[in-house]
Formats: sequence, structure tokens, C-alpha cells
Amino acid sequence: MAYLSMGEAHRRITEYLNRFSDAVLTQDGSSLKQLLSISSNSPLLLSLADALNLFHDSNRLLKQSDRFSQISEIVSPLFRSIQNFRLGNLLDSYNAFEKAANAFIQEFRNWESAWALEALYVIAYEIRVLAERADRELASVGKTPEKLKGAGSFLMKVFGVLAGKGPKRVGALYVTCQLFKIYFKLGTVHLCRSVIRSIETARIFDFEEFPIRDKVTYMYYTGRLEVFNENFPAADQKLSYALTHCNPHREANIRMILKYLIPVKLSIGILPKNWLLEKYNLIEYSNIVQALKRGDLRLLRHALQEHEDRFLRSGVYLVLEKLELQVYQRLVKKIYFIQKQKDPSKAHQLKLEVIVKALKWLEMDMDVDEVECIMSILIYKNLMKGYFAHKSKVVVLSKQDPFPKLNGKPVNS
Amino acid sequence: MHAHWEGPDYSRKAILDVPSSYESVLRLAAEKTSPRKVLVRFEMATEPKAAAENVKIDLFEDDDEFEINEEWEDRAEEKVAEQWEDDWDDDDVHDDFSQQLRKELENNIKKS
Repeated sequence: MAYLSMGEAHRRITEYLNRFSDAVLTQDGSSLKQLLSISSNSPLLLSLADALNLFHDSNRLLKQSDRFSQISEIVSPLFRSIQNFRLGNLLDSYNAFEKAANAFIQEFRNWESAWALEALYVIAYEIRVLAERADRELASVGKTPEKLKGAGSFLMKVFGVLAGKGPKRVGALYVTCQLFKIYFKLGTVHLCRSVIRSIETARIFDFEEFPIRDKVTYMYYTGRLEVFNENFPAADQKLSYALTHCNPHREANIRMILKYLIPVKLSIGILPKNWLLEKYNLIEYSNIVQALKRGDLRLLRHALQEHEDRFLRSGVYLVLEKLELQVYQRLVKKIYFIQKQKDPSKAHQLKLEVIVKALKWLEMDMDVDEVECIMSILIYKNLMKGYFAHKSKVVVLSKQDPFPKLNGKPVNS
Repeated sequence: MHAHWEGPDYSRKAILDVPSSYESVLRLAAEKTSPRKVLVRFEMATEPKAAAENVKIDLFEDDDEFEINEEWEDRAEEKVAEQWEDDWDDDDVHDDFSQQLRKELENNIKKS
């Protein structure tokens, strides 16, 4: 490390203090936010950290001028946070930052206009990221990680501050999205419910007023929740919104949306075109799509096995596994058409043993009873129309529309 | 609320035992162990259920964490029709798979 003199350290700290107090005085949110992004390791903050770690008496500098009295409650713990972050003391860094953030909110409440929203966004982001790091440090020494949970509580408080009639309310969706990230990480997604309810039902909020980047993020996370709760029509609506409005340059984000939207679309009988899978590197879905098109149960099985870890990790495995019924429908439909070509008059009578043979060919060993069971389920779920002649082991299909299409609705549950 | 369908279980896989809390997740990350299978399952319960059983967590860094970047000009890309197809479920049995299926069924009919 280059030699840093006491004088230079003093100068850097004073300069930072001046910039901070000027930003507040002139209500310059853009300038203020750069002074708060600790985890970014910006040159400014790194050089400040070195200065603070050398010149230990920064509190004296704060007291030196009246100009700094308004900001000292914020800056004093902020300095400790910056110092500790630089030294790799992530728990101490977080604890100090939380104090600074609370002090910031106290001032923020009093600023009438929304000038400081950008800075608030940085605070919201940083508290989450620093909490994650602090928790990693806690876990690594065998202690209970609880800081991310604390960050969540802080952000709920911030949400409360923003949930008013004034211009600051457009910041609420950004804070909501940070909360989503926390709850998803902690696995406590039931906590998303209350903030979703506030956003969607409170009269002070007009969804259209929020910035597009927050709306897209919001729809992505709420869409994912709908997928996990198997509300496919709602999931389709939300994730499709996210896809339609997503910044087209953000390919990583588009890929994430599609990763969840594709299983949803498959569940309602809609297939992604191949170029979509290729462009966004989602070829793990291509065999599944192929299996649905063909009615190829063996291919579906292989596809699920091949990418099992990936599907399990993202939580879509069960959604994809359930496509099996639709693949059965397609297979039986094909058998029906093949028979129809041979002998149209008898086509609507499907012998179970024919289906057993087809399944055997697809490496699925099932006896007539098991096949009967599946046919019953297809009928029950309205994927097949007909009735069962049990004694003769024949499915008698309806002459009209024996294989109803899903038409954009999921299979009856 | 799990919406399973009752049917032959031949395709279901056992989901192996996995750590069930955020802490053990972090501990594992610290130890750089990688357990095998995880089921991510979320429940919108009215009350938080007794921690462990029902809430299993993604073991890895949330690689589906949406990036929130700058604002952009919203030009709703309505290219929906080009991305999806809903008319694939046709009556065509001329593809390879269908031909093979037909052969298979005809062979078997001859045999039996």
C-alpha cells in the first residue's frame, strides 16, 4: 500500500464530510448516493477507508464544524462501517451501517420532497448486501446468522415511511423488491404476503406510477411465487408482463423470467419456439418440449433425469413432472389417429393392451390395470372424453372432441 | 398446499434429505460442501409453519436473483406470437416418432 500521510488522511476525511453536507444542503441525491455505496468498493470509499483507519479521530473532525452537526448522527456510524468493511470485519460493518441507516431514515422523514430517494435506494441495497456478508461471517464461526432478518425488519420500517400520500411513495416498490430478495433468500416467503397486499390494495399506490424497472422486478418475484403455489394463470400473467416490459438488453434477466415462464406455458399447453430456447440458453427445456409434441413419455423421463439437479434447484421439477399427463394425452391421441387411418370405424375404441404395448416400447412396464388407472385419470381431468368398458378392457372415446385441448388453462387439479 | 396427482409412482424420485434452515445453508457454503438434491418449495401459509419440514431453501447463491439496474424506456415488446406456439397439437402422424409407433403397434398386432 502506498504511503499515506496523516495530513492526506485528514484531507480525505474532511473532503468527504464537505461533500456529504453539501449534498444534503443542496438536496443533491445523485451526489449523496455515491457516498453511501460501501460494498461497491469505489475508489472514493476505498481511499476514505484507508484514511479512516489511519486517522482514528474522525469524530473530532465531525464536531469541529457546525456544518456537520446535522449529518454527524449518520456519518459517525457510517465511518465505522466503512472502516470495518475495509478490514473485513463484516459483522461490525453491518452493525454500524444499520445505525447509520436508522439515523438516515430519521432525517429522510423530515425532507419533504423526494430528492433523496436515490440515496435511500442505495441504503436499502447496501443494508441487504452487508447483512448477507455479515451472516456468512457468523455462520463461518458457528453462530446463528440473524442479520439478514434484521435488515428485513429495517426495510419494513422504510416501507412504512414511504407508504404515504407524498411524492416519496414511488420508492416503495424498490424497497419491496429488496424485501423479496431477502425473503426468498431466507426462505420466509410467507412474509411477502403483507407487503404484496399493501402494494396491490392500498389506495395511495398506483402501480403504473412506479418506475418500470421496479415493476418488472416485482412481477418477476410475484410471478415466481405464483409458480410455487401452482397458480398457473396468475403466474403466466405476471411473468409475461415481466418478459414483455423487461429491458431487452438485460438478457440475463430475460433468461431468468423465461426459466420460470416456460414451465408455466407448458402447463397450459403452449410451447416455446426453439429459437427462444437457443437464444437464452435454456436448452434444458428442449427435450421436454419435444416430448410433449411427440407424446414421448420416455423422452420426458430422460429429460427430467438429465437436468434433475437444475430443475430441483429452481423449484420447477414438480411442475415439469406433472406434464406427464399431457404427454399421455398426446400419446393416446396419436394411437387413436394411427388406428383411425387403418380403420376409421373402429378407431374410437381403444384396447388397453394396445396402449400397454406402446408404453412397453417406450420402456415403461405397466400392466393393464395400471394403464386403466391412467386412462381413468385422463378422463377425470378432462384430457380425454369417453368411458371405460371395464370387462372388455376398452376405452370408448367420445366421437366428438375426444381429446379436449387445454386452451390456455392448466389441467384440472 | 401441495397439488399432487395420485397415479403410478414410477416416475417420482425420492428427494433426499437436505439441510432445512438458512443457517445450515450458510454453514455448508462456508465448508464448501455440496449436498445433492434440493427441493425448493414455498408455501404462502397464513402462519409461518414450524420451520423445518415445509420450507426447504435453495442451497446455492440465489442464481435467480433478478438484477435491478437503471431505468429504461419502456417499449413493451409485444412479440408474443413469435415466441410461443399454441397450434402444435395437431392431427399429423407423419413424423418419425409416429411412424415408429405405428410400426411397433402393427408388429405387435401381427404377433398376437
